[in-house]
Amino acid sequence: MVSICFYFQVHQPYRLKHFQFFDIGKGGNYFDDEKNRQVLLKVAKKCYLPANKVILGLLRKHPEMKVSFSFSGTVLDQFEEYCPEVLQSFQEIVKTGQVEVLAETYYHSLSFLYSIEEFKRQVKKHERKIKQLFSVKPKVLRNTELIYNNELARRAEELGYSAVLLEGADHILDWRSPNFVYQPPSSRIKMLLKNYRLSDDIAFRFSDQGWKEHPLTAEKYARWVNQVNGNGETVNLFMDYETFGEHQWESTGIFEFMKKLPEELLKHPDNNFKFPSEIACKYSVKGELDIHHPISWADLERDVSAWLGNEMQRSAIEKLYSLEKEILESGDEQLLSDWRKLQTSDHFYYMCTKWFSDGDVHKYFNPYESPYDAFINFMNIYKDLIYRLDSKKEVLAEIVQPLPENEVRP
Amino acid sequence: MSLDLRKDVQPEHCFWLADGTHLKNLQELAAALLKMEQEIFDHHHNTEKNDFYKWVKDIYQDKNLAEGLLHSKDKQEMSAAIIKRLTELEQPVPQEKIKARKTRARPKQKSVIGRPFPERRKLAIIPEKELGARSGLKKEEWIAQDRFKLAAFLGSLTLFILFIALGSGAGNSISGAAVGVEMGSEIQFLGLGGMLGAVFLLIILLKVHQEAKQRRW
Repeated sequence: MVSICFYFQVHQPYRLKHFQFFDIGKGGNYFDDEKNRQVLLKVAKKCYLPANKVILGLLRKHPEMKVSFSFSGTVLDQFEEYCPEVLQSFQEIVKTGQVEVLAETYYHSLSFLYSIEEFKRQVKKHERKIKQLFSVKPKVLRNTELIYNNELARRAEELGYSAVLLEGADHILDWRSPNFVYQPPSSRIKMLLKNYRLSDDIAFRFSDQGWKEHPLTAEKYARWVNQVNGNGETVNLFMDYETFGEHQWESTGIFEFMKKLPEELLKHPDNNFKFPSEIACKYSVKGELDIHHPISWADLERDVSAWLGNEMQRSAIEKLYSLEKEILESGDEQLLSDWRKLQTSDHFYYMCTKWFSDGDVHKYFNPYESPYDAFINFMNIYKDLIYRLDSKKEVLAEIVQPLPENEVRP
Repeated sequence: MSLDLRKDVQPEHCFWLADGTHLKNLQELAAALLKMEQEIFDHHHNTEKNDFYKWVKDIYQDKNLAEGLLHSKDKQEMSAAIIKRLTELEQPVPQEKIKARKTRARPKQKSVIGRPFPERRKLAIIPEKELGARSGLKKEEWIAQDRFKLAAFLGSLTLFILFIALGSGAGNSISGAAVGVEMGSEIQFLGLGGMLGAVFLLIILLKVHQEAKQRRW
């Protein structure tokens, strides 16, 4: 018996506008609203709307089919702001009851690595947003970019989640298979590992004409999944939802592939679909995985070097999180919102200088000419944020300043 | 508890190769190693880790084979180590042979005189208890004799060194015998005691040599 678990990540960051040195101190909006609107509408047209149509059709055609989604708070906000019809189509899908919505950090941030308190606040904020929009309460946590270590498992358990998703990285598995449920040491939370080979066959290699398996058909793919029967209990297929239509264009045949895939998978009598929470509940733990250093689903390294691999990235993020206390104490909602939107992992990803093994992937997602441009732009905004924070503090100091002695009433 | 090396492991304990292949027993691993792409092999066996060793150690808990895999340098060596271990298990010792071994008396050791040096060395590590039995002495007598000879040897050696030191310190001692050793322009004499010590030492060495011959070292 093999349970197939589809999980799609839906995320768009708030892209920053070009913020020059001379803009520091002038305040204003850090985010390129027009560009964000254009990108969202483009992706909605190419991916979200057609993919949702396909998924909804499949869910209706195969009542046994199940999928799970994780939406970042920033994409949900942008759906509401720029394209409510996408949000409505997602709500329609969730209403079928064949969809599980997962928890994550609201701002798709790396807060887990820098501030546990901020991480908890963002997860709770995200939970509230999911409840408000979809009327469901997430049971399984998926941290930003599948960043995971033992500490994350502990925090997720504290927050009440039954399972956590992570990358089935080779260096943590050694000889083990990702097709079973595992557990961290001295914890009861379940670990669901991504089968990265089968996932990446769709997410990255589908349209690669140099790949020996190209073209990938639903029949062939189902055959690969069927091979797990007898050797595993789950096949966790985790990928960006933008794979459908955006990363893999419609012309590659990705939608046709997806339309046929459930039918092919269900031809095998031992295959079924399950939610992450169902897998955590149904299958027993087959081993313990002790992971101290953070892993993620990014790049060949499967670590956090895509966001924190160089001095620019580390410096930028450390400086940003160093403002946490002051920002929270300022009580300024706009400052807090801007500070949190700046935490989105994409801003640090753009500063990545790894141009070797995964250079093409980084270039595809990077709107800047170079990582140095991304860093300079971010730091200009950071300086302006400090300027605004100092101004706020001065205003606050004036408000709470005691009256001169001669003005004090007897 | 260790697992029979010839048996399949549970599905969750299968070796999951980097190319997605599942290996459920050692026979499959030995065969897979021979046709494995170097990239896949390097993925599991590199300076940081050896998944094959870890699998055998964790799942089969066979220390001998695990050690063999740990020290294997390439795919062929690993595969050979597995096959060798499995072959050992495939050829069990017949029951009648085991019984015969239990009842048969140990054959008398042949003389080693004229045998090459390594063989002599090998025989020299025969337990002390056994040697005592062969010489016809009780264990305690054998040990007492050995202790006495060792004490005599060490005593003579100490005496020898002591008198040489005294002789050197005395410089041109008149009590010394005229066994001079020329060192530059000075003449150093060995003391009479030194001479006596040397004679004792020589006697003891001859005695030990005779004993060695008797014991067939």
